[in-house]
Order: sequence, then C-alpha cells, then structure tokens
Amino acid sequence: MWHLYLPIAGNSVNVLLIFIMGGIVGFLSGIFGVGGGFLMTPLLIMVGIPPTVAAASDSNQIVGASTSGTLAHYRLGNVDFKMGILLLIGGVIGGTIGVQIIKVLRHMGNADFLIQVTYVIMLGFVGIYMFAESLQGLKGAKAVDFVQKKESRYAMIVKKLPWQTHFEKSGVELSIIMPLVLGAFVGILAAIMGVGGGFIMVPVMVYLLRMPMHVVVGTSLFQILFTCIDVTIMQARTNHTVDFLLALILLVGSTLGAQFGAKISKRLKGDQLKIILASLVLVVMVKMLLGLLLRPHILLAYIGGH
Amino acid sequence: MCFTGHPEFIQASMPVKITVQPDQILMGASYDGTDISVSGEIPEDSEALIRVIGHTEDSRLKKKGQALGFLWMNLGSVEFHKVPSVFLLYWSKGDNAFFHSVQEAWQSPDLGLEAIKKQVDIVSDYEDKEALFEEFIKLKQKSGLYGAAEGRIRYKEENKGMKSFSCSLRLPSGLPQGVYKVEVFAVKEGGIAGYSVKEIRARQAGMPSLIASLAFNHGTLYGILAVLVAVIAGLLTGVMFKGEKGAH
Repeated sequence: MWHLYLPIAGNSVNVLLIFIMGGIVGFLSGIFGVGGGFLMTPLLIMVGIPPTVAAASDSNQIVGASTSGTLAHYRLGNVDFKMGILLLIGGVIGGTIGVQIIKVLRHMGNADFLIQVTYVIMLGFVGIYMFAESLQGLKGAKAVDFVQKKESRYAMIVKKLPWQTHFEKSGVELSIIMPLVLGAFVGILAAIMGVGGGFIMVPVMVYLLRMPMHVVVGTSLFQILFTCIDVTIMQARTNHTVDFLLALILLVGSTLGAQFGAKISKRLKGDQLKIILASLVLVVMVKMLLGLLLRPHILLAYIGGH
Repeated sequence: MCFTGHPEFIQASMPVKITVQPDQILMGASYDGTDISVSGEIPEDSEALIRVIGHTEDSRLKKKGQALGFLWMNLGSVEFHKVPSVFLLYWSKGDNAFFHSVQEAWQSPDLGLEAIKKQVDIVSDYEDKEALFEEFIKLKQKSGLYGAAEGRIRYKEENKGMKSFSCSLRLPSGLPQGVYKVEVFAVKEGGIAGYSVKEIRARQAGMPSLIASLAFNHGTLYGILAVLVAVIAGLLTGVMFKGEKGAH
C-alpha cells in the first residue's frame, strides 16, 4: 500500500520510509547548513536505489530543502547574500577546475583512490578541528585567548589584501578575493569528492572568513541551492539519472524538516551547533574508514554514487 | 544430476503444455514486484523444472580490491557481456527432486548458471574470471534478480499419463523492462523428456512511463521542471511557516 514504483531508479520504494529519510536529512540541513548529500546518498543506495540515480535525485531534493532552509534563515536575518554570491562564483570556477582534475586522474587510473582518501582525510580533519575548537569555545576564557592570538596574525594578513569590503550581515570586513579563492577551493574539493561541499564550506566560512555560525548556516544553504540547481539540470540532461518521483517524496520530507531544523538552530549557541556538526562529521568519517578497512561482502559494485 | 545436453538440442518426445498468467507485466505507480502463475501438464513419471530468463545485456561494474595491502576500495572496472538480466530456477521438492541444493542447481551444466557462463564474456584486468562471475552472481542475488529455490512446484491429479502442476513465482520490484522467457522442462531419468516455453513482457505503464519518456527524450526540460517543482515546494513550505518571528 505504501509502495511507489520509481521509473528512473527502476525499483519500488516505501513512500513513508523515504519521506522520513528526507525529513531527517532536511532537519540536519536546517540546523547546520549542509546539503546532507553525504548522508542521503548512502541511505538511498541502502534501500535499493542505483548509486547514480541516488546522487542525482538527491541533488534535486537538496534544491527543495535548501530553498526552504534559505527562506527560513533569511527571515531570521541569517543570509549574507553578498558573501554567498562571491562564494558561488568561486565555487563554479573551482568546480570546473575540479572536473578537469578528475579527468586527468581517471586517465592516470588514480581517481578512485584519491577520492576515497581525500574524503576520509577531509572529514577527519574538519571533524577533529571543529570538535576541538568548539569544545574549547564552550569551556570559556582560555579558548578566547587562543583564538584572539591566532586571529590577530591571520587578521593582519587578510587586512593587507586589496578590495576590502564590509559584509554587513556577517559583521566582517575582508577582501572580496577571500570568498572567491576559498569558494574555488571548496568547488575543487566538491568536484573531486562528488558532494555539494556544505560540510567543507561551513568550516571555511567559520574559521577562514570569520563569519558567525548562524549566518554561516543560512549563507551556506543559499550557496548550496545554486550548486544543486546546476547539478540537477546537468545530470538530467547528460545522464538521465534524476528520478523526479523519488526527489519529490524526499523534498516533501526535507523541506518540512529544514523548517524545524532552522527553528532548533535558533535555540542553539554557535559552539553547540559546531560541536554537534563536528560529531556528525566524525561519525561519517568512522563509517567511511570502516568501509575502507573491512573486507566488503561483495567485491563488485554498481558504478556511480559518491 | 547431469543432463545430456542443452535444451535447444534435445528432441523432446513428450508433450508439455504450459500456461503463464499474466503474459504481460505492467509496471505502474503501484508496482512492487509481482507474482506470475505457471501451470500445465507434464508426463506423469517426470518432474517439472521451471526457469525464467531475461534478455541478455552488458553490465559494467566497479571491482573492489586492496590498495597498499590494507585499504579496500574500487580499483578498476569489470565488464560482463551477454549476461541474462534475470535468472530464476525452481524445482519440486521430494525424493525425486533432481537438485538437492541451490549450489547443485547453479552448477548444472545444462540448466543452471554454468550453462549461461559459456556465453558470458568477462573483460577485466583481474585474471580469476571464475571468482568474478561468483561475485557477479552474489550481486544479482542481493537484488533478487538471480535466484533458485525448491518446493514451489505443486502437482495435482494424474490423468491419461499426464500430471498437472502449478507454481507461483515472485518477480522482484527491480525487474528491468523487457521480454522474459518462462521455460518448463519435464525431466525424467537424467534426460529432458519434454520442454515448452512462453514469453512474457514487462514494461512501464501509466505515470512512470510518462515520466521516463520525458526524462529520456527531453532531458533538459525535465531537469528544469524538476528544479522548478523543488523550488516551489521549498517556497510553499516557507509560506506555511510564515508566522515565525523575523530577524533578531
């Protein structure tokens, strides 16, 4: 009774299960400003969706969740459009470079190895750093001294760059070169790892652009929205792997989840948000590491996915 | 039990009548796998074996191996050419059952996967093709597209040297579109005494068919529409929650 046949995925799914999965990932998206692709795609593969269809349809649902999340955060005053557009421009340039890098690596035969190892290292680095830093922040004074000492050296370098601009919503003043270059860096990594980049973009915005966590969440969602619009249309045009029915069920759940996530995000302090996100990232990293160390049950797999 | 040859070269001397219902599988929005009923008559001193084979296809898969001696990851790809999309095998239980295990059924050189393996072409840098084929079977079994089971065939009354049989088979929800052969073998004393085959066709219908047609024939438009629906859904949800407080 609760089953729906998905024509592009070529399989039938339990509608309620998919709706709940969308809701949970949308909720996380609303709280942390991540697209959730690194969670959703493996979950969809587990319920029998082919990897290429899971990744492409997930991009489609992220469009819905991030629209909902961006709107919710906009109302809370958490979206820095100026910063978001600069990050997006950098991201598009970086993504294009990243795709070329992957082509070269695939030709050399090293692509999969590099992608897997990059994933684990990035997740581990981001998770551990974020966890340690936010733990110190929650503990109080000592952390402030540490950050201030580091900040002054970093702030000096950043202040010397040309084209300094004030970003009102974020309450920071820095060169427009910063979001362009950092956006490009995230774009390259996102293209290599095949993800929207939220879990890399959020720490970059917090630690390198010095944006307050609540504005980071809203701005990150704004940037992910456009990245995923591009990916959805490209995947539909080139690979025909977007299953609209699957994306529709997911996004009904995720758009609702994102609204609730935004409300919860409002109630939590910046350091609390960071430490929870860091924990989530570390759990995903451990899961990936186990996947690398333990012998898989079947030594063949369908092509595609993350 | 070993048979004397491939069914196509056997001169089946005894008649086998079969009926397959339905003869067409329509995969509409509510499709979640389906049962097909195979019934008919075989010579009374023989046993029935039913095989369902899908169209042949080429399949390219990732091959996992160990990098640096300890990291399991994708280390290349393998191509399987001319493999059946579906392979299901059913036989009756009892003292006269001619397969006593799934392994025995798979290894039957005329009726099991061993028979199929002869036509499959495996392209890979990895040399152990037997091991690769075993992994391929595991992958297909996991999705329910390859399978073997005993005890699904039931016999009824015997009449004028023939006995009637019936069997209900489950086709999985991930069934690819295409034409499937439902084959019935009447097996007796190590040989095939009778054979008959019917074809059934599986295709998408209704809304899934419409969506697939749009996706494959008008990809860019489909992508834009998918994005528009997602944005509208996101905005509508935002309107539903409009009563929230603004910036602090």
